[in-house]
Amino acid sequence: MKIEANKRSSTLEIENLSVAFGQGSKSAVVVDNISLKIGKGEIVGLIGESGSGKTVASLAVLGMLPRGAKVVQGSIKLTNDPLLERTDDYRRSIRGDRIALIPQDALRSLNPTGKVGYQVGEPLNLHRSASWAFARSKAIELLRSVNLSDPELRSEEYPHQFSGGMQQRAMIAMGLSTEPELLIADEPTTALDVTVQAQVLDLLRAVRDQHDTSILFITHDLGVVANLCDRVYVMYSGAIVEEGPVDQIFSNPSHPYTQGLLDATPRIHGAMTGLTPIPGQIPLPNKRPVGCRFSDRCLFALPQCASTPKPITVGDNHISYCLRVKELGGSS
Amino acid sequence: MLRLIFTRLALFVPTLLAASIILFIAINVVPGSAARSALGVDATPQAIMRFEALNGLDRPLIVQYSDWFIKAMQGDFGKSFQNRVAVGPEILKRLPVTLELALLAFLIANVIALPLGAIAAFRHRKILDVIITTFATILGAVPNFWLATLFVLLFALIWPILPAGGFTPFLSDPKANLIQMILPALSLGLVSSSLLLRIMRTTMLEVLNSAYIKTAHAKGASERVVLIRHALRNALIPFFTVGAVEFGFLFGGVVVIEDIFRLPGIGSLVLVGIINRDYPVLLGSALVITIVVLAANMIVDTIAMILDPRQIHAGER
Repeated sequence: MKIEANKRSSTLEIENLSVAFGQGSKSAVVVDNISLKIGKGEIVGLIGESGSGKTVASLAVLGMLPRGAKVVQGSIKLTNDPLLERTDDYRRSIRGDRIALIPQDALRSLNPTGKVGYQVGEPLNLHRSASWAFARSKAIELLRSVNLSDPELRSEEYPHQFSGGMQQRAMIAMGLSTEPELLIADEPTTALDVTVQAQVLDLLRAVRDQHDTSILFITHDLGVVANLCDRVYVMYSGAIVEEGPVDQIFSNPSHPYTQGLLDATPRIHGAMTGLTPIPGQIPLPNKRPVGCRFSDRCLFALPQCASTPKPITVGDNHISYCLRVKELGGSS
Repeated sequence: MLRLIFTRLALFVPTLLAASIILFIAINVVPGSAARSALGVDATPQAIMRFEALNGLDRPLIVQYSDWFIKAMQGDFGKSFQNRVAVGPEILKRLPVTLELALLAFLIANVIALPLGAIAAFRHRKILDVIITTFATILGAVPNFWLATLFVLLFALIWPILPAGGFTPFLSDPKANLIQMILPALSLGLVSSSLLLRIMRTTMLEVLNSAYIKTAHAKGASERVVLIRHALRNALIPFFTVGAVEFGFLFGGVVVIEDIFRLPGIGSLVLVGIINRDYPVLLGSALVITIVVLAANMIVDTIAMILDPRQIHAGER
């Protein structure tokens, strides 16, 4: 529980959320007791390698968990609206309206047989009962706002006629059509060239600046996070291991996992010492070590690490779940 | 778009040429003699030679073929060896019967396959899916002539509500015509629906698992909107393509089914042609069936192309 300042108006507030696949003794807890907050107009990064549970957490927010997965505890509030207490119909009605998803692979996420303009304007038809003519004119406006040239012409084209960057911009335009409170961007730049990537990130920043939209940015790319996000949550094997403002996470990484991630990231400046990969692999949900789940890969692990990790404040809003954080210290 | 259709049209002629050559070779490779069939087992060698000379069968095959093909392209299919009746007009008279049967059967197959395949995919691995898939598998294992005989037994003999055969032209009495067509079209269509249903289920499953369907859900579209607006059109593209092939297979069934239900169509003409080694009859009927199937393929391919913008633009580039 943090104090007033954050409680003011969080767009998204996840508390103690756990998601499990399967039932009974065979169930696997994929998201384990995570809490996360996104303030209005804030861009929050959720970092973790594949299998860390970041996408499942976002699907829980959308109410689109795959078959067999379900929320076993916790709460999700969208601007004080307790989503988990709502009906499926209600959750569908806010999907694409108050929460929008920008997926990873824009080409495969666009319907190959639908005109782009039609798809971009569709949320307006679904949620605002807009006529197709209105949705179309609005789609042209939206495509122009994401810097697509010739939006009138482009809106009549099909996704395969677009380049990768244009497709992703169309997806963003689609997400913006209803001016949602929350955008969930699930690795939206992974499939793009670096230059196009930068354009898309600029666009997301501009969206936030213009509409005060909150953005949950899911990625495994630390460079992108440093570039875009205000705050960061680092997820490992279903749990959050460190959270804090982006500059602090990068200048003073306070969990061995975060440090490992940074060491495994190429940088332009600095000695050419090669990259240091984190030894081992992310454990399967039912094969996690007791206590700190990073302990089996951690170079600093002690017997005490078998106890449940507790949040330790490292700095302003900067929390680490490593019990050795004080003695290991940050680099600064 | 138009250019693509013209390309298809241009391909029509060589395809037909190739098909006719294969037909001609197949007929001549099969053992049996047209002369013996026409003249009977007691025919003298002289009579056989005379028959063959009269009908041009003593010429080299290549000459026989080109002579036949050139005349056929002008609409002259020659005369039957058996009864000297002109084959062309006979085929023309019988064509509507066969077309009606094939189209009705194809319609039945699609009406069954489309919704059931889609539902099975939508209820993947649920009880309804299992029931539908089992139904399709059983139908796929049943020969259409067996189903036809069973239908005659059930609905014409044991519980006589439908005629066991016969034909009334549609134009002279539509109702009587359709009633007579129910059993033949059903026995052909049901068997054809099996493959189409399984294709529909598979393509629909693939579509439903695609990223753009997830996008549609993320937009807040209801299941109905997702299925109709986003999934169906994409699933129909491969479905139509396979449908065109299945339409061709259906004509294989027409031959037997027409005989069982005594329908005076081209199928029964083919059968008579085979039994009597009546080459002009056989070649003419088979060629007309080939043309019909090719035309159907073209129409269906064009529909699939209209449904799939990627194909249209692929042709433009």
